[in-house]
Amino acid sequence: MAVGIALAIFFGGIKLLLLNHPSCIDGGVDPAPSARDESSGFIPGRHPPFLLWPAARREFYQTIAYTALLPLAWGMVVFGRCAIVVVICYAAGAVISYALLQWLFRRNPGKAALTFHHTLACALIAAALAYPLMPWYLALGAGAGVTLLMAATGSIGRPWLHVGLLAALLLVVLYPTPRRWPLLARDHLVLGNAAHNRSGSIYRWPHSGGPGDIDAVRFERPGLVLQSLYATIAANPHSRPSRLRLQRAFALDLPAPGDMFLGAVPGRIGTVGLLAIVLAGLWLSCRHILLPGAWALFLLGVVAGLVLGPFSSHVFDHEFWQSLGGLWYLPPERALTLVVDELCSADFLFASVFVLALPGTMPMEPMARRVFLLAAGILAALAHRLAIPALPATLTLLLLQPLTPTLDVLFHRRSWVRP
Amino acid sequence: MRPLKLISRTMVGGLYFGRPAWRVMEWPEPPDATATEEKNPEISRPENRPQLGDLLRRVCPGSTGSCTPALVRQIADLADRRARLLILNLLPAQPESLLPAALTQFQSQYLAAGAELIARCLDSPRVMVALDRHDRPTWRAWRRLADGRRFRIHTLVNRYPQAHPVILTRCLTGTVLSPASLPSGRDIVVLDPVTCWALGRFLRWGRATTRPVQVFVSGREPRLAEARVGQRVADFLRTLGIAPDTQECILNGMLAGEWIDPERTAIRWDTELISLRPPAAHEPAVDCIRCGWCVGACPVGLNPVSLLAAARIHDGLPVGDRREAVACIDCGLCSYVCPSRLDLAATIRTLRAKQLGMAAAAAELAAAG
Ligand code: SF4
Ligand code: SF4
Repeated sequence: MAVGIALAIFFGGIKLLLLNHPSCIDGGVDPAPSARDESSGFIPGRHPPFLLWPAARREFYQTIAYTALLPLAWGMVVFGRCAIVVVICYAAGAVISYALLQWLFRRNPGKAALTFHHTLACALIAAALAYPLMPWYLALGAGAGVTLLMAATGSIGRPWLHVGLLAALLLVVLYPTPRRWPLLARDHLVLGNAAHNRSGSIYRWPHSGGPGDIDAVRFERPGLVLQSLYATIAANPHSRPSRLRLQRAFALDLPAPGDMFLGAVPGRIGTVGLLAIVLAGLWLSCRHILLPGAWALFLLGVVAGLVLGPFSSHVFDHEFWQSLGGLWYLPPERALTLVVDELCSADFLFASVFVLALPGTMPMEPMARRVFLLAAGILAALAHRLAIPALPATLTLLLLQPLTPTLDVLFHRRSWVRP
Repeated sequence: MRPLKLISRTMVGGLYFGRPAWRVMEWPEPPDATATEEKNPEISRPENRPQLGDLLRRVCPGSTGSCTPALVRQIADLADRRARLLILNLLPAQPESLLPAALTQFQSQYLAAGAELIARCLDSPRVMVALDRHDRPTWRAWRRLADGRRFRIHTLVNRYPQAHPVILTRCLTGTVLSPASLPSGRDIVVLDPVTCWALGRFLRWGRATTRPVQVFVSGREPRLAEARVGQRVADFLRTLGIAPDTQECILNGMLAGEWIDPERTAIRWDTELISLRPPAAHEPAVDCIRCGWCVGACPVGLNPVSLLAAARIHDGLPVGDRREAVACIDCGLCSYVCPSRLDLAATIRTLRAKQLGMAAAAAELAAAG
C-alpha cells in the first residue's frame, strides 16, 4: 500500500513536467480574436457554438452527487443511525470548509477554485469509502479535510491527486485501527457486511434458508470452494476431477445470479447496494457523464482477470497454472455463477460507476483510455483474488490514476485528416 | 402552396441536439409550370467550361454552402481536367437545416437540371447524391429523379458534421482531403444544392438574385422564404413579420455560424439559415475538468484540449502539436460539449489561421529563394 501511494505521488509529479497537459488549462482567458470580417455585421467576441450541451460543469458534479446518494441511502438502511450520522458529518464538514474557503478568498475568488457541487460530490464519494461506524467527529474532520486537501492540491480542474486517494490517505491518518484495516476496508457504507452492524439497522436481512440454514454472512464463497478443488488437482495433477467431485464442490448450490444481484440473497451480497449502484450508473450514462463504453470495458477487464486469475493467493507458483487448467472442467453455467458472485462480492461495480464518473480518473485519448481500463480491470481482479483487505477495484483505479497524463502522451492519436 | 412534412435533424455528433420532431414547411413560391425550356443549352458542353464559370459568377456569385467550397473556385482549380466524380451534397450542413430536403421535395426539377448541366460541362461520368438515411421523403423523391440519369444515390447516417466535404469524401470515396485544400485537387467536385438549384432555375426563368433562406424563430416552426441577395437581414425579417430588434440573430447555424447585427448584415449567397432567439445567459469559461468529452466528440480525431494548451503555451511546445490545428474542420462540436465552456473551437480556429499563415509565408519564401 505504502509503495502504491509513493508510486502515485511520483507519477503525479510527472504531471508537473507535462506543460502541455490539459490540467494546465484554466478558463480565465480572453476569448480568441475572430478571423471573420467585422465590417459585414459580425459581432466580434461572440463565437460559435451558440448552443451548448445542457450539462455544464455544475450539472456534471450535481448529477454525480445526487446519484451517489442512492447507494449511500442503501448503506444507511443497512447500517442504521450511525451511518446516517457519518454521511451527514462528511457532507457538513465539506460544506463548512467550502464556506470557509469562499470567505477567505472572497477578494480573490479564482484562488479557491472549488464549486459547491464539486465539493459535495467529492465528500459523498469519500463518505462512501469510509467506515460506516466511525465516530461522528472524525467523519466531520474527514469531510472538511478532503475539501481543504483538494483546494490545496490543485482544486477543481487541476487535480494533482485524485479525491478518492486524498480521502483514503486522510482515513489512514484519522482512523488507524490496528485490527481491521479501515482504509477502504470491506465494511464501508455502500459495500458493507451486515455481520458487522452493531448500531441497529433500519432493515434486518432475513436468513437465506439455504442448506444448513447458512445465512449469507457465513455463506461459503464459490471461489473458495473451487480453490480447494484446484488444490486437490494440484496435489495430484494426473487425476482428472470427476463430475461427482465437481458436484460435491458445488454442493452448496449457489443461488441464482439474478437473486444475488437483486439482494434477494442476504448477507455479503445482499447488503451491497448493487441495484442502487447500477441505477446510479444508468442515470449517469443517460446524462453522458459516465461513458457506457468505459464502464463495460473496465468490467470486461475484471471478468478477464477473474477468469484468468488464480484461485489461490500463491499467484506465481506452479499452482496457478494447474488451477488455470482446472477451469477447463468447470461447467459453463457454474462459470457464470462464479463470475457474478465475484463481481457482486467486491467493489467492481462501485468503482466502475463512481470512481470512473469522476472526471480525471481516466485518460482522455481513446486508445489510452482503452488500455487503462482493461489494465485496471485485470489488475483489480487480481487484487481481489489476492484478497487484499481493501476495495480492490477502487484502490487499483486510484493508484493507476496518476499515470493517466503519461498514457495520454504515449497514446496520443493523430488525426486522420492530412494537414 | 404545398405543405409537406420534413423530418428535423436531431443528432449532433451522436448527441441529442433537440427533441425529434416533424415540422411543416412550405415553399415560398410554387414552381412555374409555364417556364420556358433551357435558355442556354450549348453551355452544357465540356468545351464551354469557362462560360459555366462566368454564368455561375452571374447567377450565384460566391455561391457556397455553409461548408461546401465555392463551385467557381473548384472549377478554376480543376482547370481543363475532367472531374472524375461529382458529389451532390444534400446532407444538411447544420443540424437544424432543412433546406436540402426542401429543395429536393419542392424544386427538384431545378436542382436536377443544374446538377446535370454541371456534370455535362465538367465531363463527369458520375454524380453521387449524398442523402440523409433517415430522410425517407427526400430519398423517394431522388429515386424518381435519378431514373435514367447519371445520378447514383448514396444514403448516409447524418451525424453532424457529416455534410462537411472532408468527412463526406472520406465516407463516399475513401479519399482523405485536407480542410485547407479544395476537393477539386483530387478531381472531385462537391456541389452545394443551392448552387445547382440557382443554376437550374436561371436556365428556365432567367432569374438570378434570390435564394431560399430558412428562418428559425425560437418556439416557432421553421419557415422557408426567398431572400434577395444584398438585402439587409433586418429588412428581410420584417417582410416576414418578424421583429429582430430584441432577439439574438445567428447566421448559418447554432454550432458553426456567426452572431450578427441584422441591421448591418446583408443576405449573401451563403446565407442558408437565420435563427432568432431571446438573449441567452452567457456562461463563463471555467477550468478544464479533464472529462475528455471534447476528444470523444471531435469528428476528425483531434485532441482539442491539447490544441488549446498548444495555443496558450505557444512557444514552449513541439511544432507538431500546433500543426495539427490545420486538420480542424471548424465544426464547433468540441466547444458545444465542453462542460467547462472553454472556447475551444474559436481558439483552434485562430491557431489554424496562424499555422496556415506561417505555411503560406514559408511557401512564399521558398518560391523567392
Ligand atoms: S477540434 Fe475542430 S474539428 Fe475537432 S471538434 Fe473542435 S472544431 Fe470540430
Ligand atoms: S470537454 Fe472541456 S472540460 Fe472536458 S476535457 Fe475537453 S476542454 Fe476539458
